[in-house]
Amino acid sequence: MSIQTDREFISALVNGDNAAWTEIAKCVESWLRTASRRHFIPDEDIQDLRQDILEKFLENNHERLQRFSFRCRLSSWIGSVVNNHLYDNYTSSIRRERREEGFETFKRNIFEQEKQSERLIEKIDSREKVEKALEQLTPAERRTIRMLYWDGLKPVDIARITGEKNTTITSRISRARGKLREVFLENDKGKGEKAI
Amino acid sequence: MRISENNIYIDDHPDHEDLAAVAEGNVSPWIRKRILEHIENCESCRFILVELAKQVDEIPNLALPAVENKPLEMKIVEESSEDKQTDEPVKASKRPWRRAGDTFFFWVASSMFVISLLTTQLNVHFLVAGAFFGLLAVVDYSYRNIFASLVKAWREGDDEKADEVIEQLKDRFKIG
Repeated sequence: MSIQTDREFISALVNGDNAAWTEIAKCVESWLRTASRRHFIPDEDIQDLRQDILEKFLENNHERLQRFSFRCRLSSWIGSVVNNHLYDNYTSSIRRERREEGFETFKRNIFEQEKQSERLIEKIDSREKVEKALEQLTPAERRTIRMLYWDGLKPVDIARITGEKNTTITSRISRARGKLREVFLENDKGKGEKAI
Repeated sequence: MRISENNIYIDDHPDHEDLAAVAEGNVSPWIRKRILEHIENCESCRFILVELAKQVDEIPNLALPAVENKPLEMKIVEESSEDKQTDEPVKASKRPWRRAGDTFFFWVASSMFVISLLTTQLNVHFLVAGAFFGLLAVVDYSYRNIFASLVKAWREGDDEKADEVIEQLKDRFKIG
């Protein structure tokens, strides 16, 4: 159903249908608006970005559109183009902001059940320490933890991307958290013994 | 994403279509594996995939405005109802024979059928004639609105609209 609609839509676009181009502009704006809620992009920037994206769309993506092979929805493909443009323009500020936020959440979640959690949280003062601890995990666990904390994805989104069950992801997350907690507590204990 | 026989990336990045397909969860395991490996070392593709995964459920499918997607007959019925300026909503009939009841051919076909039942001679001939007129009634019902709009456009001297209807008829019958 979706493929059929997308096929008709692309045919209208290629034939220069104004209504179809208006819908494309609306779709680009929808993607920008949903992104702006998370990244606090000002309204005036959204209008500029929309204009830039549509111009690039006409210049570069018209030919690609004709070769579209319907492996995904057309609206998702437009989203990919929009986010590529956002990455080029906003990448540094967005990623820095998200990583700092993810780092804080990570520390709180790892030690949420521990006594003296504040003291333990303070011990993890850099992301390098966390990256070193992540090396103790399996590749799948490491990937899941990165997606959860650094990228801010929900378990259900991770499951969709990796093609696994939601329950598999949640159990993997709790297993990985347990392993990381042990690694950090062991390090803390080791340092304490050395000090004695 | 194009990948060589030796599993080496030909292009630097996967294409947007594959990234979007992974975000939708609708991709072959082989492509998914390649992209998940790729994003471990590629910040830009990781960013795109993550943003898509977060938003993909919120963005609806693209579709042309509703009027453009309707079949020709429906559009013409709506246009004629707008001309009449009635407040009653137009209901599309699910039973075409009811609308066909208004037509001349329907009454001829019905008469032929009744005659074929009543007469002892030539009843097969009347039955065949009844079937023929019945067919005409259905054809008349299906295309009456189209031809009516064409005649109306000609009468009003709206050549542009008339040409549009003719083009649509050509498309329908694969002419030209």
